[in-house]
Amino acid sequence: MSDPKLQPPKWADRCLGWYCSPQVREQVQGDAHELYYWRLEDKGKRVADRAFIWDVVRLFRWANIKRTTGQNRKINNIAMFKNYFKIGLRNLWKQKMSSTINVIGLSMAIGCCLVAFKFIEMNLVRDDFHENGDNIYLTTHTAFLDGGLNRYGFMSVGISDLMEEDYPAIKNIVRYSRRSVSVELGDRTFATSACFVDVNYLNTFSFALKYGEKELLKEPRNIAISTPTAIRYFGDEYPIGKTISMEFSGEKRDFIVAGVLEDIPGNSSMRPNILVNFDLVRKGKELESMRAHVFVQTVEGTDINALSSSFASLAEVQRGYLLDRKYDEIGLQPLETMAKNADVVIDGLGRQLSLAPMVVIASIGLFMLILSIFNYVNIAILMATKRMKEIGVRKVIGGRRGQLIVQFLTENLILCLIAMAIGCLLASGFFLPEFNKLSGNDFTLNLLDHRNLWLFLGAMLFFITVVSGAYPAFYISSFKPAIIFRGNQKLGKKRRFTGVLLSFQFVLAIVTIVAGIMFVRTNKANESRAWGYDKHDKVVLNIPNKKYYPQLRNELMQQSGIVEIAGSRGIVGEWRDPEKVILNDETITVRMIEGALNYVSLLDLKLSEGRYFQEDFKSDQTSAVIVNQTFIDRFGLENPLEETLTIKDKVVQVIGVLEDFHFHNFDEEISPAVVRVIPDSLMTHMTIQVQAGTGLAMQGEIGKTWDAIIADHEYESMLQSEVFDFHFEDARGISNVMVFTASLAVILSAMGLFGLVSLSISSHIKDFGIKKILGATGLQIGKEVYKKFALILAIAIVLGSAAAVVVINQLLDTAYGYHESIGILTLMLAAAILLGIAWLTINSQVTKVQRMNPAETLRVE
Amino acid sequence: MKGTYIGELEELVLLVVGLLYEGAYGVSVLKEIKEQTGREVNISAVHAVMNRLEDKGLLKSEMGGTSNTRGGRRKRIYYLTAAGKSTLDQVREVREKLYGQLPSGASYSFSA
Repeated sequence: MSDPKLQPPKWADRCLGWYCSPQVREQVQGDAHELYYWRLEDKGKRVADRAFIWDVVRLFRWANIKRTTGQNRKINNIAMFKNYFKIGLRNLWKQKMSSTINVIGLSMAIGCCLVAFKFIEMNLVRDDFHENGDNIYLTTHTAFLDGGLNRYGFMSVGISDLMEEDYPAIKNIVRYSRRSVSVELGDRTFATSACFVDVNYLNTFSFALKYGEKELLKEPRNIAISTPTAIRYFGDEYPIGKTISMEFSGEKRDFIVAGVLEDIPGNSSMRPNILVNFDLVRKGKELESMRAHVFVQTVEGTDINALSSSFASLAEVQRGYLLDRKYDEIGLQPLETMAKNADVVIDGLGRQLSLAPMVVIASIGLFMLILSIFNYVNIAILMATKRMKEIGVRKVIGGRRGQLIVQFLTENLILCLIAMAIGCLLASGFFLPEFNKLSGNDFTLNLLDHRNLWLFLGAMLFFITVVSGAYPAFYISSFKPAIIFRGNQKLGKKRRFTGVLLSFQFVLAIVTIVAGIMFVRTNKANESRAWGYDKHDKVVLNIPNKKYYPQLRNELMQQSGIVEIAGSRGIVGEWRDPEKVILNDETITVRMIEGALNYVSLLDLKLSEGRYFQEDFKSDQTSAVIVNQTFIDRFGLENPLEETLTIKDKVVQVIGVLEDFHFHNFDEEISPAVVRVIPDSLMTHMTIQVQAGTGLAMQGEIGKTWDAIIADHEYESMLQSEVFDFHFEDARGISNVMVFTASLAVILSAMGLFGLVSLSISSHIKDFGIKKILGATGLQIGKEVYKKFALILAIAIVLGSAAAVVVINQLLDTAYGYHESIGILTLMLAAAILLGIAWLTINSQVTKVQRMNPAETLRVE
Repeated sequence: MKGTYIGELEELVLLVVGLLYEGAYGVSVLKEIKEQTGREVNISAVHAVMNRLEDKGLLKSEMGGTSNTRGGRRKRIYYLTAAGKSTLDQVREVREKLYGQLPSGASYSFSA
């Protein structure tokens, strides 16, 4: 019998013992064993083993399985939970200091995370609010164009008509085409865009209407406008029934406003200003070459792959059209993934947002969460020293470890719930409005009707509770009562763990401080950076129609106070698309700066070689260019004045080289630029040099001349020196976010430090008392406390600086074209800020010890 | 009423527990069924049936002696109760009454 070989398989036996409820274990296990030995004698070991295993499987019955949910127990557990909550609340109330630190820290972190959540959600979940969204697809086609087989997000209107006729699986087709129009409203004109859509647009897509009904487009004279457009055109007036005159495709017509859209959700890819019946643009046009975005709504349950492959015959029809563009294939793109695939589907709808801002915002939220969770873990472990006796007593009177863990987790859950409530308030009352101001979004926290938000809050509550609570709970509950009561429980080992968490917090703090300093510094530097040209005393006009250009210039030339006028297409400082030119048989990409003959000299661009354009050289008008220094450097030209370029099949001579100047904002590095002269008929802007110091005054004077000549367009002007203002404002917004992040990180880690210092002092309060009585000076007592944290700070500063150099440099590279590198001074400043705040924090506690009356500390018990 | 009707295996186990008298526990019932009827019943089925019969009040049980092969674990010994015995009597009575009414001269075909 004792031969181990002649025993039932151990694992099966153990398994049986494990799942059997204690009431039946003896009987069941005994029977199973007896059977085993009987079979062993009868039929041999292999059969017996197998039969035993089979028995173990068969015995796994409800009646035999160990269960913990007896009825008595259930009642007991509810009572226990009530008790956990009561004790938890009492404890949180008793430990006011640490609870406050934790709640403040966690709620701030939750607030940040909510902002990050809203931002990322808006970017990831797009176009999800359409009721029929699952059945709506954007039609696409592939074609060999632009140097490869590409997929395009629009469709020939002629083909879409065929689609409507021939496919029973298609319930509905909606064409959508955005065009620029000019709106006239009394004596005001607006250059804007209108969306031409099929009649059933409002039935297919779920854009809610504030006024009007969904069928309004059936009447071709009716239009619907968005709420912001309504406010812009009519202010507070009731817009329905108003007449608008709109000019498009060379015709002017009157329309009646019959509907106003509710605010369009922020994650919508389509954002129409004005909805107009599509029939108006298609009437009398050649439909085969006319393009529009074409949406199909399929019948519920349609096989999409089959449908799109059945479009092959349509593609064939299209190839017969004798157009430059030949469809290779026609496909379908689901509405909800349309924006995400915007990089694959060319000229489709919607756009994909860049990853960088999402990563930055998400990591800010995560940083804050880490900081506050570490605070909690550190403080919770130290607080445990005060509850040692409680733990011991609970264990001695029969509390199981599981119950202790639940007790601690419950306390943590209460804390997290409070923090979550405050965090939501913080987010909706402060963080989100501020963030909206910076980013131009309209985020609100709608708790009632937002499933994703609830999921996120639930997940976050679970995450924070478990991550912050699990370690302290398991650690504290592992203490042995006998050791506790002997007074031998040591927390010493954990001091290192606390130290690691604390230094990690300080590393994060240093990184964010460096980020804050660097963003502020880079902005300051960029704002005072020389632009490379004379930006002062220049008024820039945007000419609405080139027919006004000669007259306006001639009138203005007569006006007093105006020194010189130069026309240009676009202006220096605003974005221009790159263009391709040919240099020495190689195609290169450059930015064109096009203006009148005197545009270069008016801007006072400095020549390093060659000459300006001159009026007496006829060829300068057509076949001469001036390039910038970057151009020379980039393409390695030795004798630039002997080079020629080919621009659109026209050979031009380089006559001069300009020193580099910033024709773009400082997010971009200076790129190769080519300056050339264009005729008056192409001018869109006018730059007017006025007498020194009269820029603002002359802006008004010029307006009067404008109004006299151009009656139907509002006066639009700016100063050349304002050209980067918009950009600077953006940059300031970003650096404000960074400074805010840094302050929050410093505050959170300082609070953590404060908690640790005060707890560690209060647990040694008797030591300090005795030392004082024996004659220790305040300095000696202080030194001891400082020493504890000095090493942590030193390590954190070294690691943090290294991390900051790597991480923040990359961040700066993506945010700015020009920035200074992180110098030793910046790092020292960051370290000084952190050290200063750490010193203030520790000192506030140390002074308390130095001032206290030692007698009081020794009288405690 | 609960306990009035019993299943076929229940009847078998009830009978075997009765005939084994003070030596009826899981394994012995299983062996007895095999010897007497040739039926191979799994031990878990035997336990389940005996638990059910005990619930119905037809059997009662107490922990009894042990044996070497059980590794020192005690057996649960089952006894037939008066209710168990009367149920067996009833079942037998019904069966004999019905059996007696089978027509004696009938012929029985083999096909299903």
